[in-house]
Amino acid sequence: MTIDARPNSAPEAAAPWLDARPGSLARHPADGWQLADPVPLGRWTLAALRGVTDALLPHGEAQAPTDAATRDEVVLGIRRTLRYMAPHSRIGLCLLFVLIDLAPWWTLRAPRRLGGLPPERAAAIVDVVAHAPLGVLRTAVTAVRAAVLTTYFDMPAVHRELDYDPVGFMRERIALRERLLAGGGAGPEDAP
Amino acid sequence: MSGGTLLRAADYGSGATYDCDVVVIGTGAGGAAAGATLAEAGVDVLFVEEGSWHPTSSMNPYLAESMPRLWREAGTTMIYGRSTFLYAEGRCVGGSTVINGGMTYRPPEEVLATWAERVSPELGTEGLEAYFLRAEADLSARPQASYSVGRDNRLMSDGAARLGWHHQKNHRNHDHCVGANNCVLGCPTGAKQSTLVSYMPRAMRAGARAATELRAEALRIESGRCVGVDARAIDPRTMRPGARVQVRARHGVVVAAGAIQTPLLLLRHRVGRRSGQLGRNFVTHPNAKILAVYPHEVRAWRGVSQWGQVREFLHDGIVFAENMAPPGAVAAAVPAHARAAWQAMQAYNRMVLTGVLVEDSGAGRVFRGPFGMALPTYSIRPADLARFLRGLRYLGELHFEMGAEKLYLPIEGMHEVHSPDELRRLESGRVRIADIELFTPHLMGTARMGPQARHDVVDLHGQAFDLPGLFVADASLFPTPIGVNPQITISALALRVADRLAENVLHARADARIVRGPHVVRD
Repeated sequence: MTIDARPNSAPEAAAPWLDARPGSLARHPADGWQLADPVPLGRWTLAALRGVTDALLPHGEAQAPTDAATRDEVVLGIRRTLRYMAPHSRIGLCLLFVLIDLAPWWTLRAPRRLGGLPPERAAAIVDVVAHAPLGVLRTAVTAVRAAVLTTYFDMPAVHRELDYDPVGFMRERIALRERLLAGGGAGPEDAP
Repeated sequence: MSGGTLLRAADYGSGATYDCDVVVIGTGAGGAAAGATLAEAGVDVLFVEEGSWHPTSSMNPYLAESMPRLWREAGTTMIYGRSTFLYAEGRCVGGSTVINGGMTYRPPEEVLATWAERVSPELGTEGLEAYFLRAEADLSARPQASYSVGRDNRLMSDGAARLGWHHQKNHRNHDHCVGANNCVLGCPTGAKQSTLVSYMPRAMRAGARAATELRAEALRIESGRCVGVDARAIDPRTMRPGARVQVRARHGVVVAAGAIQTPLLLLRHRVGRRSGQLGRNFVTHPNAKILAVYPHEVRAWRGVSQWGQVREFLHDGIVFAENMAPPGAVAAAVPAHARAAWQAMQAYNRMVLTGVLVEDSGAGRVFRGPFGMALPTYSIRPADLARFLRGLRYLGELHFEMGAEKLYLPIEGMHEVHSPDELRRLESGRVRIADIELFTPHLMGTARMGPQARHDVVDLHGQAFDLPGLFVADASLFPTPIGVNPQITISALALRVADRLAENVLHARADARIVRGPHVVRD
């Protein structure tokens, strides 16, 4: 099949280059793009991911959202992110989840996986690994911590607890810019 | 007039062939500038872009969603070496210009003087002046208005003033930036003049086509000339390769996929064999972050990212800048988890994130790894480590001078410091290269431009010495590191490459008309 004519025979999409307007700032905007499906994980790896997630999320803090739905959302978010990673990075990160999940065994702290321990105990064991003399183990904790906490601290419920309201602030700024573009001025009260 | 055509993964039939005058691979600072120049000159341009077209209206402040949308590999890309570190690269229409801070610094005079002397006067201050002026006008380079500047930037500026250090206001590419502070996740106001809202709309209005969600996998070479590219569609739900697409270009292939992806593609064909320089001279301008915690609210997420830079130590290749990030990214920088992470993050509104940028003195190399994956390698030199540690100490002193109560440092074994005295331990000689956590958004120099086939990969017009029809128009071209944010230099060089190519295409067309006309012109 050869397509040479202009416009070519593929269906013509909308012309987003004509649209420079700000949007609703919502998640999953309707720009025709699909968020990837979560990576399917084997039973062991999924259990490891859940175990590590439970150990790394805050617990015992009244304000910190840590209900089951929140934990599931974090796990789902990580599985989606895995989809975008290079295959070697994806496999590597999954192995790290398994490695850290098995930390109670290989640190000789408990004959269980992290997920089988109370969260405080599990977190304490991860802390031991985070301060291990072997650099590769410390790096492993840094990597899994980043994966879990980046996803968790990106959740609106967590943002609220931190008194972080980017959407409200951005709406203010969008209104200010529209005013400026319409020829209005800005005063000291417009400082962020 | 809506102009060109936008294609997405679902639009490609397997085995489809698209014809054009020039195919441009990549839509970032180089590719979009080159493509817009060519399209406006009347050249039939087709962009091949691996990422998707995300308009301003789709930008939002959610890290875990925006990074997969806009960043290559959702921000997990790594450079391997002594101190393996993350790098940032855009993977969307607009490329890295969608996720950068929008600085528009020209290279320092001494860098351009070196280029003029070592490479060609055409790459010196005078030779590039017209291109810099054009790029700055196209991207609306200007300083920030005061209504966009937040408290964290004022802290940096005031701290520099107290210490008697030079603080320079940045020029940024923007049109009425109001300091929404979402630069790294896509500007939600449309103010940042990334190529998504500057060069790409111009190219499309001039009739260019953008084949998005399509990854260039190999060059097509016929009779010793580069005549197109083989590409695969990417299924956005699975990120797996789908339909095979061929793009045939009558007059040239412009590769502008960045200093890692460009050599990755070219290495498949062993371009630049005579010089052996393809993939080499990889420089990265790494930076190290300090997260400072103040006793009072700063709300650093309100206001522009990088109003200015502390340039007191520029002679030593060290620059400081503010660069606040959303809580998700900051949490990854805090060396804690579980309850401790939660308690640390309660201070988010009192935190200021700042960086030490170091002009690297070494160079790495980009390899084509197993299964065709990019394998960028780079090791920090001891001299650069010393500069990082010096820079961290100076920047830490600035924060303490301004009243910070605690600093999180990117140093293994020394993550938290509470006083200037503790900062002195940085230069005790105990910190090893592997102990420092770095990051970079500035990747340069893997297909350097120059006049000689035995030293350089492409000629002074961006064309490969050993593969006619193949042009490079991105940061790969840089003959040396430039010590500042590279966007405007990339665009300036790309404009230069595109001007010459457009001229050639138009001449070739005119020649073809003469030959094909009703009366063949003979001498």
